[in-house]
Amino acid sequence: MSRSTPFRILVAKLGLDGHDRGAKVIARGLRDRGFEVVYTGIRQTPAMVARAALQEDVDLLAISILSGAHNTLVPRVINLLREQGQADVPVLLGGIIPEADRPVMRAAGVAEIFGPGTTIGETADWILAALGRDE
Amino acid sequence: MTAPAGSSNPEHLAEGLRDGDMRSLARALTWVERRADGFETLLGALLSHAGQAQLVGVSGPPGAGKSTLIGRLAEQYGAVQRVAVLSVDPTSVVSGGALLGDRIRMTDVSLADNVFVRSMATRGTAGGLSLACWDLALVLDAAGYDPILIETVGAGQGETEVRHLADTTVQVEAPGLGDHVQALKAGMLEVSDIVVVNKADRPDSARTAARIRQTLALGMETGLAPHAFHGQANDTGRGWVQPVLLTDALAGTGINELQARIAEHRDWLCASGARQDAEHRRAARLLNLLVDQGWQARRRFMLEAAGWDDVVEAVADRQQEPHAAARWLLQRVFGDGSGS
Repeated sequence: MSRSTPFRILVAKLGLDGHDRGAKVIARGLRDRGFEVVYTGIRQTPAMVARAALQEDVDLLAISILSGAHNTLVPRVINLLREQGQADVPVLLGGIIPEADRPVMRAAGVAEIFGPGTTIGETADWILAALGRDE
Repeated sequence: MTAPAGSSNPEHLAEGLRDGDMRSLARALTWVERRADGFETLLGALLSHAGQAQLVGVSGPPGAGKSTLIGRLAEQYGAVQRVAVLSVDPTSVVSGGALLGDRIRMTDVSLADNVFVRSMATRGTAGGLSLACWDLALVLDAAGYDPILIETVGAGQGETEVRHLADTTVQVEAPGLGDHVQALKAGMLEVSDIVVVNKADRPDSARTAARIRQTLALGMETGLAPHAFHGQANDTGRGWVQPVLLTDALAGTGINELQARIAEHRDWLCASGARQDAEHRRAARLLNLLVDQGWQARRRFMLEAAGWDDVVEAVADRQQEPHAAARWLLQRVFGDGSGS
């Protein structure tokens, strides 16, 4: 990536979910594609994720969740982002999100959902397109 | 480079962050870090409000416990005052990206309203700090955060840049990282104001601390103790003697004492006049870095015009001796003997 300043991305693990291999793989993969990735660590509440997004002033938030609590937790994060003036920050969702829940997530404001099998390259390309500047 | 979205103008941002608005502060930090249009106006608007905060640099090898220790310190300070953390992690020289993972160790303060944590990447600056660190520290200072805890990349022997920026430097060591010869080598140890041996629960921590004390005592005898760095080598009465503390950041032990030593060092800086000297040195250092940066960009063109590619080829082919080749290039650029 040849931009003069890299995009900043927050990779967050939301809720009571200790399985963060996927989040780490994504964080590392995006790093290798030239992004600056802030990683929150596991077991973050919606308020903690929103606060990190605020202080780090990230260009995009990528939430990883495998616990099944996405219908409850993800809208809370998005509402907090809106309240703190970050409605323009795209929210990506990764992990195990059943097909039936996807419309709910999109309605809540999730920009894109990436399930198992998605490559780092697909994710990175989507992010670059979403942020409106290419490599 | 356009200004970051969501910002209005430098004056509004400056006003907002001075009023305690976290969003304005975060935007201002991005703006300044990107050096987006108008960032100099923003810094200029904040200049007169800065200068109050104690900048505390925290350095040490990877895994010594810097982030956890800073998290504990921020928790303590945050109970009574506004404290900021600037955490620097390395930029990949391969991709230009970075993994900024220091927040993971600071989750206890992630919702404290008095604590502002910002991660940043080195973005190609050597020495363990990002050049933008200087500007970001100024913004946080003007926003009323005091102290500002600056965590360098995992460092120890070469990454001593933070001592130029910080008022107070804390070197964090951990037991089990090397023998007594490591403690004798040059590095942050000899230029830090406070030394912390973290992981005090480990059985060999007391011995590590003892070795470090011995090494520092030797420095006092040879006149190379850190007060020499503060410009008072010949006035030991005014000198600062580096304390060596034991902490267990995970358990929260020793943090009170570290906080007390940091406050003591601030008092000493003010009382001894060292703080004024430090301000002067800091200004000179920053100007040097900024002029160097501009100079490096320009010298590339000048060297290319002087035949850089051919000389590289000749040195790579072992047709030319490197020192002579460098001198020849400098003579082509400057037209004199300044390459000697």
